[in-house]
Amino acid sequence: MTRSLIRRSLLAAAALAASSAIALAQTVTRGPYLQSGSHDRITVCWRTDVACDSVVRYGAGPGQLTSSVSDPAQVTDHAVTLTGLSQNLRLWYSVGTSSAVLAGDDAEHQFLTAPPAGRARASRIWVLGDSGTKDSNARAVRNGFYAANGGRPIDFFLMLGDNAYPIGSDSDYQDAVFQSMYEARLIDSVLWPAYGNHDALSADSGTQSGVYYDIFQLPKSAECGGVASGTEAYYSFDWGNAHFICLDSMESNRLLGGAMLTWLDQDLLANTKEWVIAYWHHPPYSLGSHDSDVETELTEMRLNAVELLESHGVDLVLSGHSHSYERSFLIDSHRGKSFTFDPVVHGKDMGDGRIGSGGAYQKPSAGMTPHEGAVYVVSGASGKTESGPLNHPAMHVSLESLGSLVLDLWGSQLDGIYLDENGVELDRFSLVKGGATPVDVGTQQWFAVNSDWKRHDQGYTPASDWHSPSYSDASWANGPAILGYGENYIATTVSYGNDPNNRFITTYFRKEFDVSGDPADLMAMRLLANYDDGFVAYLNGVEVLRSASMPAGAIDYDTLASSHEGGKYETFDLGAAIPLLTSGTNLLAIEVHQSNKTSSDLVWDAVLEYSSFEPLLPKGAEGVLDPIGGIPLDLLRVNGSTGGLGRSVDVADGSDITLEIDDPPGNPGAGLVLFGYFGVPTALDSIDLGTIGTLVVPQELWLANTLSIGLPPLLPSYPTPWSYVEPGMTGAPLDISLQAVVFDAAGKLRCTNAVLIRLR
Amino acid sequence: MRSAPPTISSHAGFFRGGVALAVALLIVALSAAGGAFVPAVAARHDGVAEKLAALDREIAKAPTDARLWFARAEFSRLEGNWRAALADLDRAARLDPSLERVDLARARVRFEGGDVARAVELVQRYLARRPADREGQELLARASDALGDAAAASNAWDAAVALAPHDPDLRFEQARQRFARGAAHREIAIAQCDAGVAVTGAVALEELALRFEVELAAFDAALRRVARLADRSPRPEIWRERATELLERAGRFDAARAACIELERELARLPAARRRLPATNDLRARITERRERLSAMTAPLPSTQSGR
Repeated sequence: MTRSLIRRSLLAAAALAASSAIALAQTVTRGPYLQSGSHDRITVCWRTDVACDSVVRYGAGPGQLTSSVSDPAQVTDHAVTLTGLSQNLRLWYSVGTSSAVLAGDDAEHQFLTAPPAGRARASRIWVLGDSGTKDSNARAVRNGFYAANGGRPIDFFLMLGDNAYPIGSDSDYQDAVFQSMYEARLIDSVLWPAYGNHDALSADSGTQSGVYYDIFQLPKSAECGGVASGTEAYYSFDWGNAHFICLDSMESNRLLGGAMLTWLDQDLLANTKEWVIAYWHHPPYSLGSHDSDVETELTEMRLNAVELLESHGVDLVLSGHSHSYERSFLIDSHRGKSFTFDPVVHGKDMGDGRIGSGGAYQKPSAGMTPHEGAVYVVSGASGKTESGPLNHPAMHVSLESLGSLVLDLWGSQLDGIYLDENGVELDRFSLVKGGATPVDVGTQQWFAVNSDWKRHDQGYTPASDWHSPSYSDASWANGPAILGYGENYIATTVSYGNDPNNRFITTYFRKEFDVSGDPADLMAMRLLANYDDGFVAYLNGVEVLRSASMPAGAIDYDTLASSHEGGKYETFDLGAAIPLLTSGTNLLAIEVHQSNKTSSDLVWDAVLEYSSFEPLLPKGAEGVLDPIGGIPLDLLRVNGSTGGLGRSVDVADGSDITLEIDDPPGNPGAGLVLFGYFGVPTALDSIDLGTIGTLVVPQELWLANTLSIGLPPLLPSYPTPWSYVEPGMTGAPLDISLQAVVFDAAGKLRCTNAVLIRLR
Repeated sequence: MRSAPPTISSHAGFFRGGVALAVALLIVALSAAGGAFVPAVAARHDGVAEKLAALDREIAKAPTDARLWFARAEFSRLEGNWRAALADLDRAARLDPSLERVDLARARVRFEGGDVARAVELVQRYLARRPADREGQELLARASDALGDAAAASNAWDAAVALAPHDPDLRFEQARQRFARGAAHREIAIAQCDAGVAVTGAVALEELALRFEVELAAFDAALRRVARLADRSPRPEIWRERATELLERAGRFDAARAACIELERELARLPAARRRLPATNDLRARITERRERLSAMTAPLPSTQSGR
């Protein structure tokens, strides 16, 4: 080989090595993250360090990404839209180039498309407000939600503005959203943002330019439902039987007759979905760290946008900006300043909105109907809190507390839950439409944080039966939690006596609460206690719990606890104490003990929560069908029940039961296997109700003992859609859980939702 | 005739850049002054009074920093304190003659304060140096409209839209202002709406054009537009109802009644879930009321029509 040839060869080799090095250097530096998801489309976005082409590969599972969409343009910020997708379908995906996969093709990179337009599906939506602090507070709020949520998927999440402090720059967003923050959710849940004042420091709604508009790919031509806004500054989308609307309270014209509200009017006129949920940054009602009485953006949104929304029948309005949590009653037509709020005129329901307490907020009509009331929520404390009067008269709850909001949509019922940074539930409300019966799903509370407690802080045990329901506490003082002394978050100061070096060892508290319905229906009960230093709890006079900081054995007034710092709510399981409950008034009595006579602080508050029905699949089904299924299909109805992965339906003794199964999506006429169980399923051609009788089903159905023998054989089964009426059964009470298995478009077995039939 | 001074609330989105700019300047200024201060201020209430107080403290430390005076002027403007705002802007300009946006800020203050003629002079001076500033062009357009200078306003609106062609808000305002100028401008206003629809697809611009057409009694054009909107709408029945209104307004009572009958049939054919919606029931009631009213005014329809 000649010298020149060697040189050329070496140069060629070097060039090849360099090009390979460049190719290998393509790294995903942001995302992937999901945008503009609908029942038939989704946009996948990501950023690479080096410009390259864009390819999204997707399919029915990891290693099965048989479809792809590509864009040859050499860019670093990638956005690829997948269209023509099937509704209610889970797909796995990867992002990369034409020659390499850069991320995904694993269990985590997947998404679920929206349910069919107008059809309900149990949906969980996570709402963050003013989360852009990029610090431990924001992470704590995130972790609190993750802990409370467990492994349950969310359908999508909202950000209510001020998503990245201080100025919404690209690096602010990287730190506040994409890196070490929400990336675990961004890869499997669509993010729908609103535009806040801090986001506006690096962007402009008029030209739709700047960081916010570069990062987010939002619909402007009704791609996800609604009508075309022509701008990403304000948009709407459908999700099953709900219509979501995002407005720009920062830079777009907020006046009636302007472009945004003209669009809003048309969008609402065109809406056919049952629920209307609107969100934007500046709250129309707030006396938190912002004042809706005087600030221009807030006032104009109340006077104009709210006027329009209520005239069509909005159900829920979400905002941030004030760094606190404020949740209204069910209200309507209040346009003036806070002090003009009149409960008689503006209050549609001035109760607490809690099932099992004041009752869910009821809106008589299904669908949009003007002026039946809406709930207004300010949830702007997902990154920081700021003080304010927090006393707007339209608000039922006002808290200066870090946290995030969870919305559960269950057909005709919407539950809102505010979780603090420890995942503790600080507020809950429910909205029910069209006369539906509120359903106890998930966790409820008999009493929440900051409730009133009776107290005896006199330095002695009041009586030997002080913890008994029969004891009269009429002479005890009453006040809201958090009770105690020595901490700056105390709401009611209790006495420790006159001598700070000889403080009362024990302080006594009592709280009555009402249990409606049959306590035997309860599945779980928990006490969340914020205490310093130790406590003993009595339920209806019986000791049920003592903190680990209390010694074993007999307890009296002088018993010292070991030191324990308050400030957080700790969870204690009281499931074993459920039999002590009675229907009606019950009593929780607490004695709080100090660790020594000079202790500088004392803390007491508690939440008592319970669960009455497990909303997820019955445990048995998950174990068998989980490797195949993914999210269950919402196809099974009993007596017209709608929505929900798990619903309970009360059936009166002796009345008919109507069972219906819809077509699985993308596979009409699929085969069906129906099975039911009350703990342990058995192989039957009917459901044996024991002494009650037999639920006889058509011969074509197979009831399989899927847990013990594995998957059922592929024998002929009844084609969907299918409806069957079982004549009335007698012999209540009895619970039967029904579930079906269907074949999806790919020929795989999938679970449907489960329905718990409660014969009463 | 001079218009009433515009108020900030009537241009809710218009001065959007100003506050954002002032806050950005505040953050930059305070960062320069001492980074630890920024989070504290940023964490506090975003109220104007607090911002002004914070700026006063910073100005006391750095009285020759023109950016601080500029930022304070912006907050004074938000408070409606025009004199203070102008004084601060003059001070900023003296300290740093290279601050380009001073004239725009002065123009904004003058405009809101009611001195529209002076506002026009100032913004023209600003645009002579920075013609590609959308906010400047929009301010010039509004101020020119307020003074009744249609030609200047038209040019400025066109320039603003050219700089932000995908902003439906801007096109909306352009068309509204144009229509308000009088008979000679109204067809142009409708054309501007249609141009905006072609670029943005915004339904709001279609609705505005429809209102204009109705006001001009251009019912045929309005009916064609409504038909197009019905074809694209998830609820075409709402546009078909508009068509019955337009036909009635146009005095075409037979056609209006026939359209009502056809719409009632269409509503009866809707899927059950849509049929049962409260909004559909309300619409049906309105259509029935209109049909009955029209029936009382008109002769019976020929049998071929009633059988359709």
